[in-house]
Amino acid sequence: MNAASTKPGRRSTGATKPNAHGPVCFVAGILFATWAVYAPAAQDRPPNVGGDCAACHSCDDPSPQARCLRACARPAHEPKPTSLTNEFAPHIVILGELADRYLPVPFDHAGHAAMANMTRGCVVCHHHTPQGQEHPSCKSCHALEPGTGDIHMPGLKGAYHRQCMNCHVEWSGDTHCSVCHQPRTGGTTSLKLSTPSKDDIIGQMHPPIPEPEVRQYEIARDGIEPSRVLFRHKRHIDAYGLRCADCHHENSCVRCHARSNSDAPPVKPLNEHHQPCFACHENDACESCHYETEQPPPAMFDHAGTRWPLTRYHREAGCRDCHTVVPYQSPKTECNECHNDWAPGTFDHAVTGQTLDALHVSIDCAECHTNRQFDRPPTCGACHDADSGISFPDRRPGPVNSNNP
Amino acid sequence: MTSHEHAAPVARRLLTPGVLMLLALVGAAMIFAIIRFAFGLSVATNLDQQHPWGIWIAIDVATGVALAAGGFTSAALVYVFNRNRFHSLVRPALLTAMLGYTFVGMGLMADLGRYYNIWHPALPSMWQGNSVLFEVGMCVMCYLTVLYIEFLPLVCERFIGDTGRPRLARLCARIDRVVRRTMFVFILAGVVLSCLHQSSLGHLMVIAPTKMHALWYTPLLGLLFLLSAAAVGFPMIIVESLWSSWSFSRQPEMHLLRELARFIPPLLGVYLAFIIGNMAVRETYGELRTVSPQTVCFGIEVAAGVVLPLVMLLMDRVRRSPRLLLTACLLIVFGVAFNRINVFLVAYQPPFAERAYFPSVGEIVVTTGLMAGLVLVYRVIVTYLPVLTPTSRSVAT
Amino acid sequence: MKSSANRRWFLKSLALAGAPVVCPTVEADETDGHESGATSSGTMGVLMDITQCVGCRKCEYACGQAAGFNVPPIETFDDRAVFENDRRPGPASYTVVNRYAAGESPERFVKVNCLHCNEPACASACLVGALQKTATGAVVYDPWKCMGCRYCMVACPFQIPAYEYDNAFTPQVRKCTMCADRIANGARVPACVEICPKECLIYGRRDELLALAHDRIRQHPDRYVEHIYGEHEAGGASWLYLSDRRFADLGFVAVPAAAPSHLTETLQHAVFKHWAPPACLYGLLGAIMWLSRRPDDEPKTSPAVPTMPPRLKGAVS
Repeated sequence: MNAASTKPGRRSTGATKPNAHGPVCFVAGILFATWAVYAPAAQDRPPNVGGDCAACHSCDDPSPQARCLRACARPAHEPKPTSLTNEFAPHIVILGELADRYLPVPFDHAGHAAMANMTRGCVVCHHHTPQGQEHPSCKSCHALEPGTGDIHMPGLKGAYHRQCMNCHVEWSGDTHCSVCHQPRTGGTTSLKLSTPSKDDIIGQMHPPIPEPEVRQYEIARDGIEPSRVLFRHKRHIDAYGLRCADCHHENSCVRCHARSNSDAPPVKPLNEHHQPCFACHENDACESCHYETEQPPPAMFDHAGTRWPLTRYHREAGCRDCHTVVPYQSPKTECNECHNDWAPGTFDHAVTGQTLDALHVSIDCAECHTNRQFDRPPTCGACHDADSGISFPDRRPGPVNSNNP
Repeated sequence: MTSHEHAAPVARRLLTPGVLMLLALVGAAMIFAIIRFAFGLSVATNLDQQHPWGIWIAIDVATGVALAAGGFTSAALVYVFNRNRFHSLVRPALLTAMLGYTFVGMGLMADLGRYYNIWHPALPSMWQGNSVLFEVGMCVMCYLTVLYIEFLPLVCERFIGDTGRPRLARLCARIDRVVRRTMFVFILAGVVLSCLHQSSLGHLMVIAPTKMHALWYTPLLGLLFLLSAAAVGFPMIIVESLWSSWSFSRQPEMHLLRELARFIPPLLGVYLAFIIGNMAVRETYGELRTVSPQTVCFGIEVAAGVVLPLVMLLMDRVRRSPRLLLTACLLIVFGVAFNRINVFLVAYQPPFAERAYFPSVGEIVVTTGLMAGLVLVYRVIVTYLPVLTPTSRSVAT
Repeated sequence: MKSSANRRWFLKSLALAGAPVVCPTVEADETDGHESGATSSGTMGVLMDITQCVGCRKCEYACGQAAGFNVPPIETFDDRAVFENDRRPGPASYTVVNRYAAGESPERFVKVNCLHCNEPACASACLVGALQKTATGAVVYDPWKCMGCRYCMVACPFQIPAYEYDNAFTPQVRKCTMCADRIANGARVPACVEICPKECLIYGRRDELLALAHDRIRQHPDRYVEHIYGEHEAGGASWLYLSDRRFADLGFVAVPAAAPSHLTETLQHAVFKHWAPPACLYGLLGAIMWLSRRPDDEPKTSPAVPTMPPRLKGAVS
């Protein structure tokens, strides 16, 4: 006949014979028993690595009691999040094993742990932690000395830098070592343990965040009359020279990098909620910000209301240029209060478009600018009578001539 | 053989306006040579990291070696193939070859960064048998020695029978006797060495396939170099002969040159056949559809330097007229010289070059100075040694 | 009688001329066999993962220090303005990092230096053996042998050797040595590999590096192009590159797999195979010479000297 009929054992793969029920039941029983034993420890079960037990276990028959996990296991599966939470994690970790050219790096572990929480947790960095174990030290796998370890694995320096630089370079395009390292120059050995401020992070370690032009807040809460607040975000930054952290000092990464929309921003008490505005608007009435929903928003702050209308150069200056202290106070209105290097004779009057001659240059400012109105040019007639013997326009103040007496 | 075929020193004044001009060129070259040796290659040349070789290699060395091919072709014709009627052409060709190779060495000295190590290839501990340049260097060194030996009889002859210096005369006679009896060894060695290094000179650029323009690059580059060297040998002899006849106001040896010119078309034809065959096999003719400096140079090289003189020399009228013969032979010389320049400079396109190479004033002056020096020394030697054979004594004015 | 004497001389001289010619045959034969890529597996090399490099240029600094060049302080290597133009290794820098940006995709950095070919064209070209491939894989240079002919620069398909044109008296060919001296003195890895912060440079045995590179391509086919530059280029090289872009877009030259020296060495060794071709040519020409000589021309055959010396004295004066 044919080869198949002479060698049936080779070809028949299915249990087609009626008397095969017995073994099937037996195997199913064993499988059930196995499941029953291991089911309570389901979360501890090893991931499916395609039968390559030796990738993680050094012994032939690992058990939950004796896992005999390899220290530097590199299984071909994605590591699972561990049960460890960053509550117990250290705040700052000093990375100092490789400090030769630079001082050790104070690593803001808490900040990064918060960030890592947004994605996959600790395993983002602690990638090969054997399940259920304490994180092993990095150098237990990654070789300290270059060229001594396994070429399939970066050394400790490479491992650290890959963890850090892959994100930092993408964000800022900056490969300067000084972003993280303090140079060991001039015999400096003392390490500043301060973590970078949030302002350092924005733009240097974090990619620039686009700021909104305005922000419209709808206030609709039980027991309060509904109102709106129009916050001119860009104008506040431009006019007052604010840095992000001046207002956003409480914000965590999660505020923007929310893991899900269900994580609504927490409700804060009134005081905390208004705190960023009150820093400046402490004495303002509620109506200066809040307005009824049908009404147009209140006009912007008019400096003329302070009896110091801004003119010419002053209009272009930022608020902080004159109001050096927050909350803002009224500075004195004397010019020298801010322009403390101005005095008659040293002020270059030519910048106003009017050059003073030798006679006028020594006169006190207020002599011509009556009532201290420096923003408008005085007329000659205000000082010189038409019949005082000085002829106009020949000898009005102007370019100084060498043949003038 | 009749006595009028004996070579003799040229009985003419040495310092002519032409010679003075040559001296001026040599002087200028020496100034630039001093600059080169005192301040380095960067000051004297336009060489850079992308263009390591300039005209000092392409012209002074490669072209110099090619144009000195008259020495081995004439030796082969007269001694190996025993065409004795061309005997009178051997000595000037031999002298040209000897001087040519000497000046090749001088040009090389200027180009080498560590010229004081030029003797290193002679040390067996430094032999590097894989290097094409090693073979070129060894062959050129051996051949130069052979050329000097071949030239010895001419020097000896000058002093044999010199009754004023009997000891020198006796020594010369002895040397002359030894050299004469072994001369065929050196003649054969000279021809073999020439064949080897003329072809190896072409093999030099075979190592840079990615940098060479397809029109010139071929594994047969060495064969093409050998064929072109063989083809340029006789034209070089004819040019020299006609030139010196004109220079010394002698009757051109047209009866010989005409005969010699008959050998050129077959040699040139074989060269042309290999050029065309190589293009056909490697399918590089497609390159000619685009116009670039390389394709234009290739066109000029083959059309004006090979095809045109080949057609000209097939005509009996050209071979009979001294002027037309000179033109045709100059075209061949130009063609081969241009080929060497093309292969070493025009075809060489380094991958990261930001600018093309053009020789500096210093390089040009040194190169012209070397050529002038060669002509000058040639002139001096033919004045004092029996090199040229006077064809018709009565014509000398 | 005279003719037979001449014949004896001829044969004797032929034999004598042949003797020195045969001697160097031993030398030539030793170098006859080509080093094939397979035998170079024990050599060391460096694998650069271009996707990892951030262009910090610290390798340039470390290289300059190790090579004894006069290098500026390490902070000056943070200057990214140098990336505006592609640079090449030069006589005072064995390695440079170039930046390649392509539209929206992130910029890539390529460290350029000698690839240390398995069958280096420069070493094959050098007529005095000043450039040599060592057993560790590095191609090193001996300035004391060098003549300064710069044929190595012509031969290198990657245009790496740089020349000290400014040096009038002792110019050298300068190129990466894979820190051969440094490693001989006990360092584990070349200076650039040691300083590389992200360890995008891995120093190891070439065969292991190749296996590693193939593994990475197999594991991350989305991350890498399926080409290891240096695996086959010019007969293979010690220095290998992994990339996520086509190498042609990263300033790499396309070099065929055959070592450039194969053809020249084949030609060279064919021409000098046991010295047979030159000897045959010599013999052939000798035979032609012998057969074509005519008895009546007897005195004319050998020397370029006429039988009767002319009266020279009068002619010269």
